[in-house]
Amino acid sequence: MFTAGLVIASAAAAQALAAHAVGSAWWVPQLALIALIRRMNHTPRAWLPLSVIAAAALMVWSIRGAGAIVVVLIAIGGAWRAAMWYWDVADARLQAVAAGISAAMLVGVTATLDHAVSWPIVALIAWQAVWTAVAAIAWAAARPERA
Amino acid sequence: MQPTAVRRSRAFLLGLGLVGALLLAHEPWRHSALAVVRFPFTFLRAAVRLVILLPRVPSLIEENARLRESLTERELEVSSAREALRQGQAAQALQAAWPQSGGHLASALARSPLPTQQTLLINRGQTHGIVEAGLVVDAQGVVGRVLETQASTALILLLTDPNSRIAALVERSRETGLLIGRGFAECQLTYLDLGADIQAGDRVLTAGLGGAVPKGLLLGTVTKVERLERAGATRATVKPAAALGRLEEVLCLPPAS
Repeated sequence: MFTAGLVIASAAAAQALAAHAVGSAWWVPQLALIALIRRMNHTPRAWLPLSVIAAAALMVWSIRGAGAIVVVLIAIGGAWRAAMWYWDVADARLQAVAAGISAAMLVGVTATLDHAVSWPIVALIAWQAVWTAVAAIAWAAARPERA
Repeated sequence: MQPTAVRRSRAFLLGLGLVGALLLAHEPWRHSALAVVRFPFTFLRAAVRLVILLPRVPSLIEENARLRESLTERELEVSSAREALRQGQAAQALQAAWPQSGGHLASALARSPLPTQQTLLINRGQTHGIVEAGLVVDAQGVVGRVLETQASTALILLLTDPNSRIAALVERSRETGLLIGRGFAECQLTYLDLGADIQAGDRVLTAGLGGAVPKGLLLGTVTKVERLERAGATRATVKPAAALGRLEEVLCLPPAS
């Protein structure tokens, strides 16, 4: 679990640095969420601690709505844990869909709490979801999971 | 040797000499003739050099590797020197843009990965004299305000954050309103009357209301104006003047009062 936590925290840090390099967090996929989803496949029983670690890694940067971030991340972790009972979560396509939906959920909730919802923001959330899904597929292709 | 054979040999040598003299004397042919004559010498010299160099090949390979290593080190040094020069130039530009500010120069470290929370982490904090609520600027205009300070870092709330609110005025008409971030690369100027004198291209400055923010600093330019008949108000979209997408060096100004 230590390795999983380290991977998630590193992904969040990489996301922050990439956002700075690119100039806007809108153009960077939610790497911390992808890391959470992928690492949970290795240690499904640790879904709650891993979700909390991911929330903490993102909360380092949050200036408001920290509670909402924790709740959303635990909901994402719980939903992915539940999905393990019904589907083959090692499937990269399913991981990509989950990562995309999770990204839309997280950013959508923070935008709603910030009263920032507008048509451009909705379009950007959709973009972020698609981009995160694509990044999840790329991650799976680069580091396929062991059967 | 037979006298006839001797004569033939002499005639041949004489002929050869004459041809040679002709070739060397006539300038266009001389060059080609010399190249042909000298070729064996060139070849011989190359062969001799090769024989001399062969024993030194292992040491030459080592020397080459050392030189390559040294070249890489020098390239890194030049690269870091260039970066230092660029930072120095950026700092000079900032000091020139805000000569009397008494602010602290800082470098951007990272940006919030949550897209709706538009914040920037800088490498200066309380120990460097950065105080909360102070204004942050770059050479083009206002970047945002200091939100939190730690010992050696500080978090900047960018103008585009949905929680950013700065009293603003239109430079041309002196209409005042509130500049609010929209969560992406734009801001909105609100609380303007329906008939407010504002148009696309107008420059928006800080109004200086409340005392914490100095008056007259450039915030951005109006790109779109919407007249909301039902609400009896006007709303303007403002593009920040500061290059918020590529911030590297910023100046943290102390609060006005």
